[in-house]
Amino acid sequence: MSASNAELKAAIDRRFVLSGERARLLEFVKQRLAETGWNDALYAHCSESFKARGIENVSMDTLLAEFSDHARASVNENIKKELLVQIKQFLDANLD
Amino acid sequence: MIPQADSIAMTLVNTNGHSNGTAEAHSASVYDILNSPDNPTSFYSTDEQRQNFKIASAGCKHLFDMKHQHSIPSNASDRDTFRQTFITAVDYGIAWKIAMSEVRSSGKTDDPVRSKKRKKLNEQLPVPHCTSCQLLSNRLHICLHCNYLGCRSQRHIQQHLKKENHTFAMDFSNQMIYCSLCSDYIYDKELYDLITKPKLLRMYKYLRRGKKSQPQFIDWIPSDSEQTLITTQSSLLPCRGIRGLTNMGNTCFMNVILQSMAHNPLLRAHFLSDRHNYKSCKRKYCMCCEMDKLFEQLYSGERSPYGPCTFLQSMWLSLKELAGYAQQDAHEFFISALNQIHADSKDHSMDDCHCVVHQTFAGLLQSNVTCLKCGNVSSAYDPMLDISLDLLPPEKKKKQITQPLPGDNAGKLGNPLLTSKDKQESPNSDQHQSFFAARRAREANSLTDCLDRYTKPEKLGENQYSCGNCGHTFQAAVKQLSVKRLPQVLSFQLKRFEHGKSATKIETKIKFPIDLDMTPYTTEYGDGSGKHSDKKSHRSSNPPAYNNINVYTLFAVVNHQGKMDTGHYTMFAKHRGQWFKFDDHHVTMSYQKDVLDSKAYMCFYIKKSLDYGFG
Repeated sequence: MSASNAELKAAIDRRFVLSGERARLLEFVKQRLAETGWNDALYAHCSESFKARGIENVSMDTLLAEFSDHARASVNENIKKELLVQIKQFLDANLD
Repeated sequence: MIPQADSIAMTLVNTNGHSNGTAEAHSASVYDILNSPDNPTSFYSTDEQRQNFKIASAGCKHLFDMKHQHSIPSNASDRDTFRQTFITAVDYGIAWKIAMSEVRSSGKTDDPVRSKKRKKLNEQLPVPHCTSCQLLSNRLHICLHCNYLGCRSQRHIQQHLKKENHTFAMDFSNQMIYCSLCSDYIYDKELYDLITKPKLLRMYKYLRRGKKSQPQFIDWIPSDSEQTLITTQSSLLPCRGIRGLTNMGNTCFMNVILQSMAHNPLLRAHFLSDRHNYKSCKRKYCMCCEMDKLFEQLYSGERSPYGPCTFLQSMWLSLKELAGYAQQDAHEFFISALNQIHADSKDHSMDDCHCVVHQTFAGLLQSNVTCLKCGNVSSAYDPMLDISLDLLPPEKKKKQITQPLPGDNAGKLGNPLLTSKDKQESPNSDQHQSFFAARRAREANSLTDCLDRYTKPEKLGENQYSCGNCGHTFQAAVKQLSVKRLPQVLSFQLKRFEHGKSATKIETKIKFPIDLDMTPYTTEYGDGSGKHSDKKSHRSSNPPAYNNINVYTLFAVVNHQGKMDTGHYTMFAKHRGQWFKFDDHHVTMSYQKDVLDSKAYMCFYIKKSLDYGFG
């Protein structure tokens, strides 16, 4: 069962990328985030935090560990809903 | 990539990147020149600098070791293999990007053309996927030591690097290098400038083919004799350009404008590339010479504040009304300085001027007057150096909150009174209304609102327009402004100072964006859609297209604190990606948030993709 699940997942993933749908949604999310000022706000949030303790010993991993929760939580709810709708549409169209 | 303004000013030499690695080795890159063992010691200010230089241009010490293994012959092949693998990896990533963008541009998902293209694509290029989990969409990385491809999301690439004792991998989609010894991404300027950047530039050029073509520019590759000149007659300087200016008695209005010019990438490129050298200029009180001296001082490495007294003196002598120690308006000074620099340039002319001021700031406004009787449109053109925007006075603003904006609703909703009545019938009307009112009040105070008002059709008075088509009789008419030709640097003045019965200052906060899309305000756009009221919908439904040719980015903001007649000017400017606050001699680091929260008096934007070709 889990083997076929993995296969299904791989097949959907493949179609998602190769159809260009992933790239389209990525572009969509990027634009919507920029529109709502999410990038700027997150940048300000992070630099505020580094102001206090300096930027030494910061790596991609520590950044992700520290700010991922805040970053996800601060995404406008509408964007999440819109994205979910579009993903569902893609799945409906491609699963039968 | 579309050339960025900053990179033009900053990049001394840009290699033209041949497609194969061997050819690259023949034409000397800026890195070869800087690191050449033949350079005289006088080229470096210290021995330490000579040593540090190579390390500074490498992403991390591990990559530095990898790239500079000249001394150990047995490792030389390692180095070349690494370089070759990196080139192949970048090529694969870019080829995939191009292929995917062609899939996307070829129609809908279920389009047969598209699936055909996809099939072709699959045959030509191996589909990149994680060797461990088979998935395609999880941040793929290529190992730069073998042919492993793995994803980061499930840590397959990290596991691979650790297990095989490999050090470097490249992010497949953005060509960033990951170092497992640093366990972080690293920025290798040399590899980026010599390999990644030229390849990306070629990709963007390829993807843009057929569209409005970008004028060409030629990279400068120094000849052998030029190289010798550079290394024997000059010496390396560390990065500079941040220096405070002393206040010489109410001269903060000048200091903020000078800083805004010093951080203007186009003016900076012009003067730092020696296009006007004050040592060879014979003119007296020449403003171009003063600009040249200013740049020389700001980039001299001297840290103590600089007093631009010769600049002030030359301005005083050129413009009598500025002379004296009175407080002046920064915007007036800005315009006077631009006119003076223009007048003192070698290549100035009355129309279609190619001087640095006009190349940088000049745009063209179109004013259309439509006769309401016969519908005849007459156009007039006005050159502009900046745009001055009216603010809503505070008391008028209150009116706007309670009443719907006339221009906004008239067309769409018919009778505005009726609609407000309708709303009241719904139970939540109060909440709704206050919500919309608050939102409108907020929105009415942004730079784009000011631009909307600036380009809104305006009814002319009864006796203001005589229509040529209606036998030169006075007719009711509508006038509308639009931007016919956008400048490279767009400067806005927000008219905070009112000269009515009594002079007052409007303190309203005006929101302004980091990136500004000017497309809705162009004449071309207005002609295309036909209707001005579409502007709002353009903004909300199409977020700024970041590859759009009309997108600008903020680089300097001038602020005024205090009252109308007694106040102080400060400014923010972006220098190498970092914001600084300039308060006369006092310079501090700043953040984008502080800049956007400030009550701007002037804003300076630069086009994200520059147009070449004139001048």
